Amino acid sequence: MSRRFNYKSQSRKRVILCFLFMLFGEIIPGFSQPSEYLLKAVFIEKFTRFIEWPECHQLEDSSKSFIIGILGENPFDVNLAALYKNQKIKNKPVEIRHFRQVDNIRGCDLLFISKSEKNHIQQIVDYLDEKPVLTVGDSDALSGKGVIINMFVSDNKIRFEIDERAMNRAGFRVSYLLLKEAVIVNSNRDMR
Amino acid sequence: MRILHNIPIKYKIVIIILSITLLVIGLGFYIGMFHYERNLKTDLIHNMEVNAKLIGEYCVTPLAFNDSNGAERVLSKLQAIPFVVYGGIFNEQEDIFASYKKLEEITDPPFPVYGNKHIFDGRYLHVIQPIEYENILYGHIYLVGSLASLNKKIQEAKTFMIALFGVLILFSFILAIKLQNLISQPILKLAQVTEQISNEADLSMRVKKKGSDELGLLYDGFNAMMEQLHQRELERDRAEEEIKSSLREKEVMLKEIHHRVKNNLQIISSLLSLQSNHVHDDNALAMFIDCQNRVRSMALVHEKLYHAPDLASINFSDYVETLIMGLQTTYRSDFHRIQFDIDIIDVALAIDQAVPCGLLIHELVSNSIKHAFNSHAEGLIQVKLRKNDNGDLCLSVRDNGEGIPEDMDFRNTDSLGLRLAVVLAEKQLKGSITLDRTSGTAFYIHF
Repeated sequence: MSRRFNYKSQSRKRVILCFLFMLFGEIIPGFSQPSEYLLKAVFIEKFTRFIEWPECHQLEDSSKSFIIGILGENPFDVNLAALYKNQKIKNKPVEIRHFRQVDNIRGCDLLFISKSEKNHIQQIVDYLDEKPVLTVGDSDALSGKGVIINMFVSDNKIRFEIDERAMNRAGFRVSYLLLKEAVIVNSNRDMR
Repeated sequence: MRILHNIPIKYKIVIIILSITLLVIGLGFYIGMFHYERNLKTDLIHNMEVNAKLIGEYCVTPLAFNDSNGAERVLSKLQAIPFVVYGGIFNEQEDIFASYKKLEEITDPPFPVYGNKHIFDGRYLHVIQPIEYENILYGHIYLVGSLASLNKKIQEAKTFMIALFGVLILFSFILAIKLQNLISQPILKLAQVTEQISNEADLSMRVKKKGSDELGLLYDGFNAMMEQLHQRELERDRAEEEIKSSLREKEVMLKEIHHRVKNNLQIISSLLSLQSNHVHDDNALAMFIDCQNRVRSMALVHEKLYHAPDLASINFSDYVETLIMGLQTTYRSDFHRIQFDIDIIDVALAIDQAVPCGLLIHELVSNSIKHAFNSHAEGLIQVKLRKNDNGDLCLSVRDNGEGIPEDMDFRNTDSLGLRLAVVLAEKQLKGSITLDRTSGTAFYIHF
């Protein structure tokens, strides 16, 4: 009698769905760089697994949605909404909001800063300074500019960097596993 | 076990000690080896599981972010663990995601299906563990560890144990040989003394004890027993000596009695002889002579008795010959024409049979001499003693003379000799007497 290891968690379906979407994105025509942004959309959910929001941020209330904001042009098109339609982050349903301007940003838990906003980055950073909003960038130009996580492509692979100083200012706590996988910029060691 | 019964006690003790030592040490070594091997395996499993857990944890983010290079970098840390020959990371779909191979010829195995988290296949230990982070499964880590090092350690331990076992058994054998003397020597000494006593019949020998243990008590008991036996032997010897002395005295006394009886009977015979010199009547003289001969034949028995070795019985053949020779003196004139045929078996008769038998022969032979033959006729007198098949004795006195007249009843006759013969045969000897007149005269006495 043999039995397979069965350590499947409740989130297994969700992850499988992600991969299905990844597969799906590749065969849907009309998307520019669909695989890259599909992966980045999946990465955004993965980031949240290894990051704890500040205690003052009311993430425990499961009746509210986990709000992902997109500032600037939406490179995901509709994929992001489709991807998270039935998914939960931090045990909450996911809501996607699109912001055109910094001043409009309200109540989001995670803000994806599009490449189009690279020239307004300082304004964005200043606006969100010490707010419990996880900022996720998508441009080499945003590196070290105060965006907490910045994704970039290296060797045809999506990599990411973490601005440790910005993360600390916003009060986030990140798992060492994620730090290990990331490129660290503005490290606390440098500050010392 | 039967073989043990016939071997010397020192070897028995050595065999028993060695058997127990062999059993105890062997069992101890077996249990020790079993625990050692189990502990080594447990340690190896624990080591592999800890490493799998650590490596797996570091592979969470590579799995989450599809970074197989990152996973392989993490797996490359397995180089520091020499016995791990293969490490594989399987993703959620149970496909190989990254792997580490100590040897290039190793190929990636399929996702392992085991009933347990680890399994030994003789050469390798296989460990598989889920890779989880906050209750989310990311994949599995599969490690294969070589058991060569463990088997080598076990083999070395076994070799050491066997060598130690041999040394301990040798040591135990030497000790057993030495220590068995404590038990066997006193017993062997006791056996030696017992054998010496048996061979030399010397009950005065004792064993000297060296301790107060059970063997000391055995020695005391043995010595006490020997002391009792020795005392009894001394007492028996004394009693025997007393009995012998008493017997010698009695023999002397009995000889003296027989001698005196013989002397008294000879005195009576001599008195009768002296008395007969003054008898002028022939009949009375014959009676005197008969009486004198009867007394002489009785005296002869006593004379033979005190010369006999046992003083209780006489050689009857010798007696009869002497008796017949004595009759020559009385019937000297007749003996030159009468022949005697004496055929007596070699038999010893006690006094209570010898005296009546002697008197019977005297009466019947003298009767034949006196009446069977004419004055100048030659004749033959046979005296025989035989033993029948039933053990009875048969005395026969036969002559080839004229024979007793047919009308004469020997039981009711005036002849004192014949009456005496009947009385002696039937009353004294408790036997029977018959007369055969077919050829001469023959008397048969069965007793």
